[in-house]
Amino acid sequence: MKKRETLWMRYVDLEKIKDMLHLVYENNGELRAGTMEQLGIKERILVKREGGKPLSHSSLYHYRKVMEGLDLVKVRQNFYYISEDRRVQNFIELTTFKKNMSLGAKEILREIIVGNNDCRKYFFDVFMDEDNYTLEDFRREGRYVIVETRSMREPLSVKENRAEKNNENIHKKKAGAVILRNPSGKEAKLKTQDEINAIYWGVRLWALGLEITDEILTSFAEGRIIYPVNPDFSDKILINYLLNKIKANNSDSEWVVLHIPTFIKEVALSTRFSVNKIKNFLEDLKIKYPSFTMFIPSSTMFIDIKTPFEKQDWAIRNSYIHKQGIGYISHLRIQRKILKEVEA
Amino acid sequence: MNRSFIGGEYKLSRNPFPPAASGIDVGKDLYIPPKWKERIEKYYNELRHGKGAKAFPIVGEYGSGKTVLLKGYLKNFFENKRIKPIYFENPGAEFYDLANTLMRSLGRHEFSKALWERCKEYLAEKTRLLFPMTFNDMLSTLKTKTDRENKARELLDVIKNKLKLTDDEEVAYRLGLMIVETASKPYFSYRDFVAGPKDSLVAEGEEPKYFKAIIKAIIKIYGVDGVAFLIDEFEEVAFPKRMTRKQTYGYLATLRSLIEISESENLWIIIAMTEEAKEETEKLTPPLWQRFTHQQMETILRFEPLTPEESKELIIWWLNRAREEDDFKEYRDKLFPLPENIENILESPDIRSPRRLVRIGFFTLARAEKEEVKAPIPLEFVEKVIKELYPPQIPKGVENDKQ
Repeated sequence: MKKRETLWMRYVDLEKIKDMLHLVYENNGELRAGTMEQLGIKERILVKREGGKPLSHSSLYHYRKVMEGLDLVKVRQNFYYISEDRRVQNFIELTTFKKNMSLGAKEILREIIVGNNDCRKYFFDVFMDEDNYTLEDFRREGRYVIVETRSMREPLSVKENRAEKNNENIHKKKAGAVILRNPSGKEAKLKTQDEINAIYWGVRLWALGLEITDEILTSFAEGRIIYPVNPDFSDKILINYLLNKIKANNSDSEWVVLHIPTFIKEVALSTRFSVNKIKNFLEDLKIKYPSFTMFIPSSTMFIDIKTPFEKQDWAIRNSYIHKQGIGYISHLRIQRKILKEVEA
Repeated sequence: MNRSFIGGEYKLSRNPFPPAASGIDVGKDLYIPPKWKERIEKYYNELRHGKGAKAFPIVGEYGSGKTVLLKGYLKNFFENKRIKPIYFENPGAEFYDLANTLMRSLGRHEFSKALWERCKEYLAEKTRLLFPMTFNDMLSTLKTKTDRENKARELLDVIKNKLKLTDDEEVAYRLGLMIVETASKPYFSYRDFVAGPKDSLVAEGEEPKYFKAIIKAIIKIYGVDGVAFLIDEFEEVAFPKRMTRKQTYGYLATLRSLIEISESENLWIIIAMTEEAKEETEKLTPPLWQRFTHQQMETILRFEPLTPEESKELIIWWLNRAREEDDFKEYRDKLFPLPENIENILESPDIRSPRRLVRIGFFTLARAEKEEVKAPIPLEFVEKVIKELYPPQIPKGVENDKQ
């Protein structure tokens, strides 16, 4: 059999993967690739969210390959069988067809993904100093990683000169290598488009969706920071962090102003709490201490200038708190008196 | 009937609060908290004798009173110090945006005429006439391009050597051109300030020098000691949408030029910006920001929520606008018909911004008048209005799924 040379990981909806797995479970050893895909379409799983049309052939292929690659299913003589792995059996038991995954089920899926050799080799290993690690180790010991793209490495003038020379639109050039680099220097270079699709747009987004990792992007020049999420959230740690920030501020004003994206970045990198948890903490703080706190909104134009690429806007905006009817909140203003209130 | 109710019951000739608290007519004096005035006076005194930039930012969120301070207070503040204030709203990030706004606000004909009048004192020695030549007479003598060019060269000499507006010949020549071309082109157009094109009034690469010469010209023409640029919403135009790196450099170059000029000339630069604009400008170029805010001195006028006491003063200031008649004079400087203990419901700093307080004032009075609520208006009534205008936040669920 010809050895597969391209990577199997792609961005897929993991909820759909779970539903497809249930179909295989219900029809264990009875489905071939084609019949499984047809059944997935008939059950409205492998269809587009908008319009309900069947997914393209390549998408159907990737759904199958992801199930195979993650060892959720086994193919014997062209028929699909549910994996005998205990974790997969548990996963089936903990999930319900067409119902969102429970926290317990998500945890199993996280273990499966972090334990997968291909996912480790191309993505998770770069966070770790050791080669042997579990999901728990990853969460506890994993370092953060900075994503470096070609546009970050090249100064504007170089790009402009090349564009002039080649008489081509600088935005239409071929994708360059994406480098994932951890602070100790360990790196993973995604050189080909296949690697970028599989890792950067595949495994990375699974990890993000399952909250194995979270991401911060506060400026284009600095790059996207990916870090392992610590699930043991504690608001006490955050409140202490905040109070120390207030104490360290030397201004003579009774108010201290904190830039929310900077605060989130600092806290996230030191505590590994997810961005959403930190944002929720700030929002709860505002509700709990309305007399001592104030949100300062910003217009999106300020947020969007932080990157020249429109596609990065969402990631940049994610470091801000968004309030319906107000917009994006860039700063938190806190009265020093909160120290007494909280410490009392 | 309503008017008589508001007069009889509330002792007000009308509802004095403007319905839309943004865009208030700030041509007149408005309430400015004393601490802001003290801070401005302090910065002015510290900076006017120093060698650094005569500049400081005003940082505050939307509705915190930046525009009111620029137009309603700083304008008079500088005028009283013989400094000509020039207010810019949305001037744009590039140098030519600023030059364009400035020169348009002065008017080409007016500016050229005034500059020529100053030049005439020195030109008159050569061309003494029985009747003094008017500006228009002078322009009418310049029939050909050669005439205009010759005149521009004549003016160059005066601008450079007599008025000493610049030491750069090309800049002086362009200013001369501005005067002599006024007949054929009495208004400025946008392209006049874009360096490069054939008829541009600005020498390429010499924008700061040109700007400096204009500042000196304004001081001479208007007989003032200095010029103050009050720049409002700079960032709104500076960052109209996604900013390219080139535009970002344009914004910073303009800011740098202004700061440099203000270090050597009596040019004051006061720029109102939001917190995020401050944050971004500081990050883009920390050394420039330090020059702008004078490092340890930290000359940043940061608007904070009004204190409950200041909030009451602001409300009273507005109520007094409808108590100019003698019938109401004994109610002047009183919170009436609003409850005396209104500070009890002004605990949240969110509502203690000038814009929000004015809005609360308007809707409280409007609704109370409509419902003919007896004075003093109960605290609960005002509280209800506040809650409707600015609903309190509802705690979020523990789980906040990613988008």
